[in-house]
Amino acid sequence: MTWEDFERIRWPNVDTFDFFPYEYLNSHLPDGMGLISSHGGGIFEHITWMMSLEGFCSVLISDPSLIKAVSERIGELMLKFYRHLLTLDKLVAVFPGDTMGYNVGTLVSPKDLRTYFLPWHKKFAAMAHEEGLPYFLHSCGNLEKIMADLIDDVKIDGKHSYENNIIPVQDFQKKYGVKIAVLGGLDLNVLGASTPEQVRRQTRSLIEVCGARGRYAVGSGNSIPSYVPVNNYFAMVDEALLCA
Amino acid sequence: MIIPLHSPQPDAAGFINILTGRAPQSRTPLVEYIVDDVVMKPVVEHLLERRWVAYGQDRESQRAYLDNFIEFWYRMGYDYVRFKTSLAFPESKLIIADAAPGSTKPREWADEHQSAL
Repeated sequence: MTWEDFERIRWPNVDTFDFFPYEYLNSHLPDGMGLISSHGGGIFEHITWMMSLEGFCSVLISDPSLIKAVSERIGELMLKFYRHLLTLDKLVAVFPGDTMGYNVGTLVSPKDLRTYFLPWHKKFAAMAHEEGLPYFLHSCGNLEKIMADLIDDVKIDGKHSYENNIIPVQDFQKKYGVKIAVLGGLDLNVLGASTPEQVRRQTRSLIEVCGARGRYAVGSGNSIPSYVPVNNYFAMVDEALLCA
Repeated sequence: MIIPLHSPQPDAAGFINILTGRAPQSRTPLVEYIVDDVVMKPVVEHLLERRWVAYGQDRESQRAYLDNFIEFWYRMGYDYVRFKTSLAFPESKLIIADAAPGSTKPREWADEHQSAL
């Protein structure tokens, strides 16, 4: 990507974006239910999807000022998006996803995440907090090197997305659960490739261990993708409701 | 199985109070980030006995999809619905058929080598 490419980008327009589904949900929820929402995809995800991860890394070395320009443009658009989202009266939390890690570390250096992306999460979190709403972050991978930044500087209120081969949710909660909420954690390998009875046992175990410590909600370690057997999903949800 | 719940009693405020530590953990609520339509569809059709409608370009199909979406999260025992869409940034995606059993939809993967620009 070059500066010429940057000048030619047709940026989306928040003013003409169709917020209908958000507004429909906001006005049709049953009593007691809340709306949890966010922009789809985080700022780090979108810049690497626009430039490709390879292209992004290349420009990060050759022309960091271009990375700054693209990230600021995306960030400004997302900021405007959040201004609209935060007007919805049934919104109870802002819960975006922005995967910044992989199995053994962050996808780019912690320093670059701190320079270009975490300041935007800090702004989005501050906007949510101004409305009295928590900011939960879904971010996959090993984020150990930026966890202090996320908690103390960005001020996330909770973290979602765990893999047992990185850090089991029980261990993560032991380390950070005093400061933030812990969301989910039932490993996708268990959900995707075990029996329903094994899923039930894991669910019960998480509730007994993590639930007992507080500030915990039970669910998958990542999401319920298409390959999760429906009966395993039922087993997790049913067991959680039975335990509750 | 107790799902789908017949008389759900969602408490979004209580859910948030537990997670923010404003209230003690009186229960362990459910949380989910995304439930794929491939998993949601059989629940809507067979457990909730509703007609599945894909999210289309017209308002009628969008309303029908969102009504099912709400009913799914409500009857499965969640205190909230989570929903998100994205601004249309210019991005390159690799699109192939989803290999999951029962899925007929295409699946998008990030193109790690080719920029859309």
